[in-house]
Amino acid sequence: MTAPRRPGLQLPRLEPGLTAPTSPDDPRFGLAASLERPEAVREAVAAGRVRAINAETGLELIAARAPAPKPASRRTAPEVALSTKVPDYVLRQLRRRYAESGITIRNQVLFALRLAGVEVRDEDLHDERRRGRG
Amino acid sequence: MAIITFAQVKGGSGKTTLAKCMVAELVARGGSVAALDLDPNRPLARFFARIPELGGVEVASPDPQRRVSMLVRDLSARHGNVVIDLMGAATNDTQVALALSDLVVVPSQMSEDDFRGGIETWRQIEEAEAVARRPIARAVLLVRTASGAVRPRVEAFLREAYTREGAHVLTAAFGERTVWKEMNYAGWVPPLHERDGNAAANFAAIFDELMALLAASATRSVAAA
Repeated sequence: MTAPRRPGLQLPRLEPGLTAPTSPDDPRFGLAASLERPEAVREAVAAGRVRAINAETGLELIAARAPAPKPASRRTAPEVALSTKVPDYVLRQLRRRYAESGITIRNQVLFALRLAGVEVRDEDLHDERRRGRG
Repeated sequence: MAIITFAQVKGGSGKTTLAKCMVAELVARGGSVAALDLDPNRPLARFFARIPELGGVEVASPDPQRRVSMLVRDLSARHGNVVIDLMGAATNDTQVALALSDLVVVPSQMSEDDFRGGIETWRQIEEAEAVARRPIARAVLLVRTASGAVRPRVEAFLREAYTREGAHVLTAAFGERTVWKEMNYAGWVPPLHERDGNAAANFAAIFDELMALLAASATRSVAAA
């Protein structure tokens, strides 16, 4: 006669007091919830108690640290480099105007070209280097 | 009631295997048990789904809308025991789970890295206990120890090292056995399917020691109230 492959389950006596559910009003849940707050986690990171963030439970912490998504370019055409030489006093004036008005040298040149009749679209006058600074 | 957490800030120490065994042991003893799986690989639900006796065990996992505290509050209101399996790192979930626990088991292999991680975890439990102002039963469990009668000297060395740091080490240790590795492949869980075998007896000894710690902690808690 062969022994049964799976012996029947045994039901030993349970420890008293180990079968009752935990009350939802137990103070431990309030404490645990307070430890889930972003500021509590940041404090724990600073103290060295937390060295890794679970993306499933700390998504807001990770998202808050992620760089803002780069806005899509509004320009109508790709940018190409243009290099030329000008008298030094012209460049000094352009720099002074930039310091006073914040209008970049690129845009001062493009404005001037548009006044001279060269097609420069409004969308392409937007200087993306200044985005996100203010 | 018992919220039982397997915690160790170092990975690969045996938390998930022990959590599986703990759930199986509680089911075998007729206990009401649910699990919280904080390992993003979700090993618990996959394992329980394969074992008919464990198929009905509720396994919860967090998401941005359902936080750990919320899930444990819900599970522990409906089940006598909740087993929490943490990720093997010092994560934001670690301190939350510790603050919720009645009992924390810190598995430790024999390596120095496990020892360092075990002590760090132990300190975090002490801190959680101080903040929670209630006793949290806890023990270090040596794992992957030699199953035979001959104990390697590193085991005694490690027991002494933990004790020197103020950590309590269970007398029983989780022995290295092929059956624990085969458990997932074979769907054969010693605490359920072979209770008269050596592996099941090994885990039952661990379980009994842990329950004694829990009972002593509950007594201290009542006395302090």
